[in-house]
Formats: sequence, structure tokens, C-alpha cells
Amino acid sequence: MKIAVCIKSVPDTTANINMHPEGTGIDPASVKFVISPYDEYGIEQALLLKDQDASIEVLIFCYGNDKSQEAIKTALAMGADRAIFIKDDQAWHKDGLAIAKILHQAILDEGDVGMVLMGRQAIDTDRGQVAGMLAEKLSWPHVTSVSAFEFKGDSVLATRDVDAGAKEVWNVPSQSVFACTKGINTPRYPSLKGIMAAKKKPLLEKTIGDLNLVDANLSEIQLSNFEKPSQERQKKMWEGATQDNVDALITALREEAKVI
Amino acid sequence: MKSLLVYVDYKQGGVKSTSIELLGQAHRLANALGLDVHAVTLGSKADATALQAYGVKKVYTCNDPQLDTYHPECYVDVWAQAIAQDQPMALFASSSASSKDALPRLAARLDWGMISDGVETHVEGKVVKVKRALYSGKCFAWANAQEGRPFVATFRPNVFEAFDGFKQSAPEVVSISLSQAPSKDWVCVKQHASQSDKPDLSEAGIVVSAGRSIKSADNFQIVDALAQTMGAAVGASRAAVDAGYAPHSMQVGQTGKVVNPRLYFAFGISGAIQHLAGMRASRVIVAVNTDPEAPIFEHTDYGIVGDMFEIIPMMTSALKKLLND
Repeated sequence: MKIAVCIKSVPDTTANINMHPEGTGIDPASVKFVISPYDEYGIEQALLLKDQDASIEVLIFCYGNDKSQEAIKTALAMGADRAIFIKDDQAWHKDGLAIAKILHQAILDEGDVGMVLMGRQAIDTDRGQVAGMLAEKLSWPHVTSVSAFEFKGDSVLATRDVDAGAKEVWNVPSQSVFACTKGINTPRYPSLKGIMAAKKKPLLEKTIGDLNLVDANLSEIQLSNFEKPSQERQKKMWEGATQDNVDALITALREEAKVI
Repeated sequence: MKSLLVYVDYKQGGVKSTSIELLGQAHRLANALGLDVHAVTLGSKADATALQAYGVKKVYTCNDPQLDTYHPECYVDVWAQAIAQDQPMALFASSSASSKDALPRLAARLDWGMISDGVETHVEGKVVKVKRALYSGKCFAWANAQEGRPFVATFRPNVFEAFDGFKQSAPEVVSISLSQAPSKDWVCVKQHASQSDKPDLSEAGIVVSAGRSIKSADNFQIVDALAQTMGAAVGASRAAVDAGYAPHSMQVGQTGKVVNPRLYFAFGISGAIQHLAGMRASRVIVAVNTDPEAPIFEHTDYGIVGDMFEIIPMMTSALKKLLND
């Protein structure tokens, strides 16, 4: 079976995000790019299945700009077999639907994919749309926020995190799209051997033009006027764990801020 | 395109407050655009007549009890039928576990763009622009569909002011039936209800969070006690979750939940970028930390430099007295 894992290269969570002065987007200079943390759970889940059944082939699908190379190499070093990289300088400006259409076509062009795994959302655009959209395009079921995964051969029992600790267990065909979240597994670190091996693994680079994409109308949603959060805080401070300070805080919350 | 269509969610006994909030914002936009507000509802609790208090002109409703348990295919089916009849400018929904799960599927079926987790809206000519966070709130941008192109948008709870201009009107009710039974090989086989009766983090009006210096899972009891006095939800920093003091479902931050309550308490949380990303949209932020240099104090309205193990119980008893009177 071929398992497709869709990954996105994103700025590290510890990175400070700076804007282009014209507000047209973020300034990627001096930012470290990594695999979006939730996507690592998808890679790990595919590798865990491969650990059980060596005939499974784990394919990385990544749509992104040239900053994505590092993330793809990391995924191969973790143990994925090969990668399909759809390179596009404008990738970051595409909306969720466009990304889903591009990944869908890349997966169709590959053929015989038996399962799709990815993270519950990329931590840059925070949309969480691609899994459901891709599943609809494939006419497969989808399960999002998957925090436990039990492979049963033809089917999968996938636990979905709902609100406030509630959970649902879904029984779906293994040919489904799964969007993974924390709790499902602990992603492995690439070993030195893995890093060396990754250098020889096939990394197929494509452009959107190489895909058999008939739908030319890609992005529906555009983004503009990027801005930093600007909320000024008043920073009123009290020193010491005293009853007076606690009372002053509560009075401020009640009478000044009017929030309790 | 004569309407804005709002997906209205119900709880026991009526319309969910998040849906009322969104209906209000839909009216503000509809007034500016010269449109009507229509609604789509589903499940046996969905009571179309309850919507007459919210100025809804037309309600598409499917009362099939099969919809009482969530299934993305069935939800998409109802929404798609309502949209096919209504031809709205956009479908709006509150962000929730089910809308996040099923609406992308609907958008792909309709070939519509989707805007997730909006926090603000703005009308420019005939185009609705929606402000949303990126990088969990490290930056914001305005999203919009091209003029004349319909779209799906979800909005975070607690972001819009209450609307007091609702006009009473009995809505026209259009009944919808499921076009197919739920699939037999895509089924929810088990549901685990939430272990706690605490409010959900992403919808709560007040959130009380603690960091790693809480030192143990048991110590969260004092945080719970404080939260209870205000009906608040309880959160935790990633450090506290990684140390095993709280489950991931409680994590506030870039790789956890993003919250925007009217009041946020950070106890013993230093204020890593990761955490700030998840809570900086809160209206009022309070921090308590023993370190006066903790970065969290740069992002707070009110702060006390001191030990949370002393301060939390003092606050709990003061608030108990105050809020019970």
C-alpha cells in the first residue's frame, strides 16, 4: 500500500513573525522553517504502519516554495521512502481550496494511494481546511483531530478530539484522509543513518504546470493588509502576594475593566 | 444573491449563544449590503420558530433525528441543499468542532473558498472582508472572496458585540430531507462525553490558566476552585502539559487551543511566544508570576508579582464572597 503524507513547511513556533513593510505578507528572512508540527504526527503514523508492514511505501507530498526543501529532507530522514515536491514561489498565497486541488491532482497523478495522512492544520495559516477538502475531492471519508489511530487492515478506528475533552471514535475505510493531532504518537527524530539515507532517496520536483490539473481557477480567497496585533496593554502592576493587592485587582476587574 | 445564510446551532432549550452573536453580526453586514439574513438548522432540537426573535426571514431546516449525532456527510448534505435553494452570498457559521470538520468538505463540493476563524468584518463596496489570525495570532490579515463569488466563513466565538437591532418576524420555513442515509462504512462507533462539566476553552468568556510552576496535576485543584467561582474554563501552558500536569485538550497556545475570552488569567506562565500566540487576543489579561521580569507582564493589563499558591486561594475566597452576594 502507498500512504501519502501531506506536509507543509512553516516558520518554527519559536519564531518572531515580521511583516513586509507594505503589509503584503510576512517577511521570511531570518526565520527557521520546519515541518508543521501536526504534520509530523502524520509522518510518524505512516512510519508506524510501515514498521509493521515493510511493503508499505510512505510518500511525502509537499506543496510550497523553495524553503520547503529542509522539511522534505527531514521527512525522508525520519524514514519516508520518497517525496513529491510541487514547487511554487506563490504557494503561500494560495488558499486552502487551491492547496487541496493541487495535492489532489498530485495524488491522482501518482496513482494507487491507499491512505492520506496529514496534520490537523498548518501552524502558519491555521486554516485546517485541506483534509476535508482533499477527502471530498477524492470522494473518500475524512476524520480530523485524530488523537488515536488503530489500523485494522481494511479499516481504521480513529479517535477524534471534539471540544473540552470529549471524543468520538470513527470507523472508516483505511482509504480515508486523516488529519492528526497531539496524542496520536510521538514523532521520531531522524537518526544519523536516516539523514545519510535520505540523501539518496528520490525527491521528485514538479511545478503546477506538470500536474494534470484541469481546474485553472485556483485561489478563491485572497489575503491583504497583514498587520501585527496592536492591542496596547495598560500593565498595571502590584508587588507582593497580599490581600490588599488581591482586593485591588478584583476591584479593577470589576469597576475599571468590567469583566467580572 | 439576496441573503447571508447563517448556520444556527442549538443547545438544550434554544439557540446557542454563539449563533445569536453571529446572527447579530450577519444583520450588521446584511444592512450594509442590502441583503436579508437567512438561516439553516438541523437536528430534532432545531426549532425554526425560535428564530423569529432574531430577524431571520427564511429558515431551511432538517429535523431528521439521524442528525442528532454528528456526521459530516449528513451535515454537508443539508447545508448543500439549503445553499442550492437559497443561492446566498455566503454561508456563515461559528467555529466549533463540527463546523471545522465538515465545512471544508462543503466548500470543496461547492467549489467555494473558505475563510476560517474570522474575528472582525468590514464591508468594502459589495465585498465582505474578514479579519483572521495567522500564526495563532502573531499576525492578522484580511481575507475576502472576489466580488460576486460566494464563500464559506467561520467565526470565533465572543468576537462580536451583542446586537440589539433584531426585528421580530416569523420566518418562512423550508423543510429539507436528507438525500441519503448516513454511510455504513463511515460511522461514529463510540462517543466519550467530556469528563468535566467545565465550559469549553475556545468558547469560554473567562479562562484561568496555569504553567509548569503549578508543579503537579493535583495542584490544578486550586485553579479549578478559582475557575468555578467565575464559571471559567481552565487552561494550561505547553510546559505544564508536557510535564504531564494537564491533558493536551487544556493546552493554550500555538500547538494547542487559541482562546479569546473577555478575561484571561495566566498563573505562573512566563509568556513564551508559543503561549502568547494562543491567548493574546483576550480582551483583558491578568498575570501572576514570582518573576517581575517575566515576559508575560509585557502583555497584561493587570499583574501581581507574587506566589500563585498564596494568591489563588485569596482570590477564590474574595470572589466567592463577592459573586455570591
